[in-house]
Amino acid sequence: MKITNKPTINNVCVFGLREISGRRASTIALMIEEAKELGLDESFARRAIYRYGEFFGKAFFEKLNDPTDLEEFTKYFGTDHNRDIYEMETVEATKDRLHIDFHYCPYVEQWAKMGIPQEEIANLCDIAMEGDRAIGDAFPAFKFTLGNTIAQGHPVCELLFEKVDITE
Amino acid sequence: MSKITNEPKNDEQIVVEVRNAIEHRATWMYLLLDEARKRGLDWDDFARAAINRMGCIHGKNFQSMVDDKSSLKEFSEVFGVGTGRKVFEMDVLEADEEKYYLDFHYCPLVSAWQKLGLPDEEIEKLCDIAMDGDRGIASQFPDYEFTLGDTIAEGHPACQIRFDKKK
Repeated sequence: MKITNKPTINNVCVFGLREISGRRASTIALMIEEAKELGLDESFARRAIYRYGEFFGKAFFEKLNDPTDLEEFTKYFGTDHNRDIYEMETVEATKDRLHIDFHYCPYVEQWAKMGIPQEEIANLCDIAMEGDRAIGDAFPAFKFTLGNTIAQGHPVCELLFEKVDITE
Repeated sequence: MSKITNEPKNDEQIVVEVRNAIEHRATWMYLLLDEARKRGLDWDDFARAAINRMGCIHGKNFQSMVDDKSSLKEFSEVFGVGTGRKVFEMDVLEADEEKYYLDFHYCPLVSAWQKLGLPDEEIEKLCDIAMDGDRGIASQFPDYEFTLGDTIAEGHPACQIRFDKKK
């Protein structure tokens, strides 16, 4: 499936923040490429982005009164400026499930502008999502699943957090 | 004790949000470099090339924003303007056809690296690598000479960004 990735929210703030995301996207793609030429595989980037997510996951975990409460998690996750950047839509928010769709991705846009082939964009997206996996891992009471993604050619990126039983 | 002084004055919401995003980018950059170093890569060998190439991409964007890419005055109307000027607390010292001189009084990248607890020497090195992005931008404008003077990362009160028309 061909990538479709069109923004609908456009204002000065969102545009500026997306531009920074674009620079981040080009930086990671070019660093992986330059490292590869020197014989290093992408695992360094996966680990780096995972560590990046760990910082935020830990801070987020400590911010919550009850980090096993998915409804409290929902109050904070994806409610800041990122909501407009990624054009997020909360599809479902209950005490057991949080499902958010992202309708736009500035990273994918930048990688496409750089002429990177779609299969490679999907892989770069998967590397970038290590950050979200780390945030998910910081909360043992929730299971994080990345479903379809824009980079794979789907209309949205699907992020799902589900409550799991950690009492056993 | 750190020799770096890097205190912001402007706290408008949009400025703070853009700074946060730049801090995240700087954190991400450091972690990529750190993990590559652990696996035996020298920062000078791969990171500089990557950041310079990123700068070239953005330099081409700036090229598309001016009618005459040899005009330093036109360049000064697209580079270091808008929110970016407030984010880095830039002072414009000169802006004509011969000189475009900017002083940056605050750096969110340095701020991010300070928050990670990095030593001054490493922050100075990371700053110089990040500035390869600006060198890449400047490389797309062959009529100007780009010079990076003093920097906040070296412990100076401002980063001196200088573009001079080549004679």
